[in-house]
This record gives sequence, structure tokens and C-alpha cells, in this order.
Amino acid sequence: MRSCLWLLLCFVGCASNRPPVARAAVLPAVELTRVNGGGESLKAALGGSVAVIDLWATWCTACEQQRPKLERLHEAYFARGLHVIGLDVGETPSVLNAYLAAHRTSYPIYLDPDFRVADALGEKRLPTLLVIDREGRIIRRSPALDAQTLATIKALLAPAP
Amino acid sequence: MRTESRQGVVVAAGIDTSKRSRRRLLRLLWCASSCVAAVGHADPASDAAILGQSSEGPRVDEFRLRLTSYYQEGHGYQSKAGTLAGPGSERSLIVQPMMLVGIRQNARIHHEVVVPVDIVSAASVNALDVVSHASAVNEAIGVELTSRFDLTDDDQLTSNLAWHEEEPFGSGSFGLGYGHAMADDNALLGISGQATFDRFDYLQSNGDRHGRRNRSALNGNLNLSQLLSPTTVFDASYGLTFQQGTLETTYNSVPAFGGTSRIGERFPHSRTRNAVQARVAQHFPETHTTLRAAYRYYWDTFQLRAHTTEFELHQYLFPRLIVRGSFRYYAQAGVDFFTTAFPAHESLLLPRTADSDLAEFHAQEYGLKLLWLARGQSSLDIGYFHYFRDNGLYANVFSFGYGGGF
Repeated sequence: MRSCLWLLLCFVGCASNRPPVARAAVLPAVELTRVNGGGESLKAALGGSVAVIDLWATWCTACEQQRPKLERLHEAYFARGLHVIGLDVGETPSVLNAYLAAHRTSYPIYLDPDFRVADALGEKRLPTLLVIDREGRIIRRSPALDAQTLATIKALLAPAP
Repeated sequence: MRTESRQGVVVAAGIDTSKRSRRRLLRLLWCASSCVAAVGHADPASDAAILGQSSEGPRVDEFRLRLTSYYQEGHGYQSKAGTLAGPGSERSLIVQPMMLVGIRQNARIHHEVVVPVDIVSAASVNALDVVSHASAVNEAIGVELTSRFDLTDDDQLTSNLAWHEEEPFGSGSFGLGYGHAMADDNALLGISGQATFDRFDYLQSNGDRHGRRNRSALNGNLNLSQLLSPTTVFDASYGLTFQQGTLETTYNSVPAFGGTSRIGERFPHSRTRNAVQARVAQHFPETHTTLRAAYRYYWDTFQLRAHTTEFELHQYLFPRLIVRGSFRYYAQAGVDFFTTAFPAHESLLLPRTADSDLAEFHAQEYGLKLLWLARGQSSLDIGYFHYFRDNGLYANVFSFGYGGGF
């Protein structure tokens, strides 16, 4: 029994070596990896537009349930300047490509196999939606595309009075 | 809808939807109702069409069914289904269908209604069967209502009410809980309390019925969950329970007087129980694996001491198929008034029990569960658990579950 307790304490001790990530307030200067290879900076990918970054993974059922909403959002607001991108977190290109072959998306998908971008954004939960304004500030973090997140997006897209 | 964390493949598996995730969802839904009306310009598509929502009003948002069968075989001295001086059969088959319905009342209030139904076929569990053999089957039904209220972005109140009724036994309970999120949602502090009242027929081991008896329990729990790293969660809790009233199982018996007779079980009038527990869950993103480990220490005023160590491994085999393996080791030092032969010269007022559950023993449980995540929010699972202990009891548990969200 004593050995079990030591094992448990060891487990906690080892785990605490990696501290929680700090949350970014603005878009960090990080490079995104395209599905077909090659890189592009996050800021360039968003092009100074109002944007939604969807952090997701193929195994994440809640992410999958959200995807139809994001498709409809992209379809409805792309013409008004909204950029939706997906960031697949913690998975290899082969896993992602196999998934995308069966599940086509209308908005661009990028890869973050080693959590580098997610850590720079200060996010550790899936799914997470980040709403970005035209200045590159992270205005809202949400686990779902809900009414308030949609209201925030619409307010950012609205022309200045 | 579930929020999932990298450390929380467990959550992704639908095995354990975290309270924090649900609280966060409720919080966002509440905000939505106040903010959505603030934006007035023309929309290329309606909000409802994008969000796929037909209504913000009350609706059923979750439905789960579970069927569990529990079969145990073994012998214990408390059972009369044997010789006067020896242990009797503890053979028992319990089939428990269970239904859960989640109801979203509004953006800030959510309810869960659980209806468990027990069907028990037993040699010794049912007192009436032991003493009269009048029936081989016993049914029990109950209902539990748990409600969650978002007070602020970081504070949540929960309440629960439960009622249970079966052949010589009725029980009711209610409880309140409060949770507070701290450190940017990286920590959650919870405190809860519960009161339970039981009322039951006083059936003696010889079949005599002596009216009704009561017992009550007050329980308090303190819990702290802390995100240690993006892939590690630590959780610690302490629970205190105070019981009083007729605590013994009145129809249980104890071999006495050199094996020539049996007398009824007798417990002290009150019992204070304590438990501390620590758990850690570590997720390994590279392999889609989550390992959980837990240790629990229990002690009470009956001088019962118990250690529990538990390990769980969750592994994605395919994107929609998860396997969960578990192992639990339990070691218990029995209560200080356990006996299998009550001496003739002792006072009959002394506490005594021959219940094998309260004896000294070591137990192990192995479990395997397969969970299939269907499209949408549906899931199916099938599980098998084998439990055995070194004082003559083993059990096989099969479970089958279906869940759906709306």
C-alpha cells in the first residue's frame, strides 16, 4: 500500500513540471503549418480581417458537433470579411488528412502537431473558438459557437458608425 | 455539447462530463440571451439558422439509458442461508435499468432526472425471502433530481433531491453544493452537504417484525481540482459523514452460543465516517492515452480502516472507439466488533456483526469497457467488471449504456 502512495505522489510531482500556459491577449507571432505542408504566419493567414480560429482535433466529438455551425458561419459571413480557420491540435498530418478526406470543410485547416500554436495562444481546451478583431486582438474565447460569440462576431463586422 | 480538454480524453469519451464544462456552457448560454438582441444590423443568415437552435426555451438536451446486471456468489456469516454455525449464501442477482433525462430550463438552470430501478433476486439480501421464502424477487424504484444554477461566471449552486422505495424500506435525501472557479478556471473549489433519512421495517432474523425504525445521515464534502499542466489534472477531496439511528441490518444474524443458535446483529447507535482521496489524470496527446490514478483512505468510529488504490487507462483505438481498462485494489481492516461466534458469556447488549462486508479482507476488481462514439451526440458502451475478495465473495458485473444529446 505504501508503494502505491509513493507512486501516486511521484506521478503528481512529475506532472507539475509543465506549468499551465499563459493566455495571450493579442495574436502571437507564430507560424502555421498547412495541411499540404509549407508554412504561413498566423497574422498573414487572417489577413487583418475579423476572424474565428477553431481549435479542434479529429477525436473531439464536441468539435465535430460544432463544425456544421462553423460551416454555416463561414458561408454566411465570408463575403462580409470574416475569416474562419481551423487549427487541428496535437495530431499528425496523416491522421488529419485521413479525416479531411472523409469530412470536407469549406474553410482552411492548419496543423499544430506539437501544441506550439495552441500554447502561444494560451489555450488548453478543445474545442475553443477565438474571436479576433481587425487589429489582431483576441476579443473572445468560447468553447462553443453560441449566441454571444455570434453576437460578438457580428458586432466586430459591423461598419463603424 | 461538451467542452474537452487535452488532459480530458475521459471527458471526450463521454464517460464523465465534467461539471465545469457544463457550467461553462450554461454560462455562455445565459450570456447569449442578453447579448444577442443587442446587434441590430441586417444578417445574411439568421442566428438561429447558423446556431441550429430552434428555441432558447426549456428543452430536453440529454437522454441516457443504462442496464447493469450484478451477480455475486459467496458466503457470509450474517446470512441464514446455511448452517447455524457456518456461513450462508450471499448469492444475489441485481438487474438495474436506469434512465437519465437532462432538461435545460433556461440559460442559467439545468436539471437532471435519474430513475433507477433495482430488481433483486437473492438468497440473503431480501429479509422476507430469508425468513419466509415468500418471494424470490424484490423490486425497488427511486427518482433523483439534480439541479444546477449559475450564480455568476465563477460560481455555481447545485441541489439534489432523491427518493427511494422498496419492500420494507424507504429513503429520502436532499443536498446542496457550491462550486467556485479560480485562477482563470484552472482551479475549482467545491463544498457540498447532504442529509439522508431512512425508514424501514424492523425485521428480526427470526422473521419477527417489530414496527418501524429510522436512521439518518449527514454528509459534508470538500473538493479541490487543480490543473497542474495542460495535460494534467489533480483532484483532492475530504468527506465527513455522521450517521445515527438503527444502523444495523436488522435481519442479519450472528452465530452464537457455540454454534447452537443465532442472534441478531447489533451496532452502536452512531457512526462517524471519514474519507480522503487524491486523484491525478495525465493525458498523453501523442498516443491519445489518458491514465488516471487515485488513492483513498477511509476510517470510522467502528474502527474500520480501508485503503483503495485505483488505476484507469483510457485509450482511443480508433477515432470513435475508446477502450477503458481499470484495476482497483482494496484492503480493509474490519470493524472491532466483527465475530463469527458470539460467546455465550458476553452481554447481548454488546455490538456484534458477522457481516462479511465488515470483516477484514482484501479485494480486487478488474474492468474493461468499450465506448463507441456515434455521429452526433450519441454513444454506446458495453462493460464487464470482475470483483473478488479473499473472504469468499466474487461478483461479475455487466453493463450496457446508450446516451444521446440534443
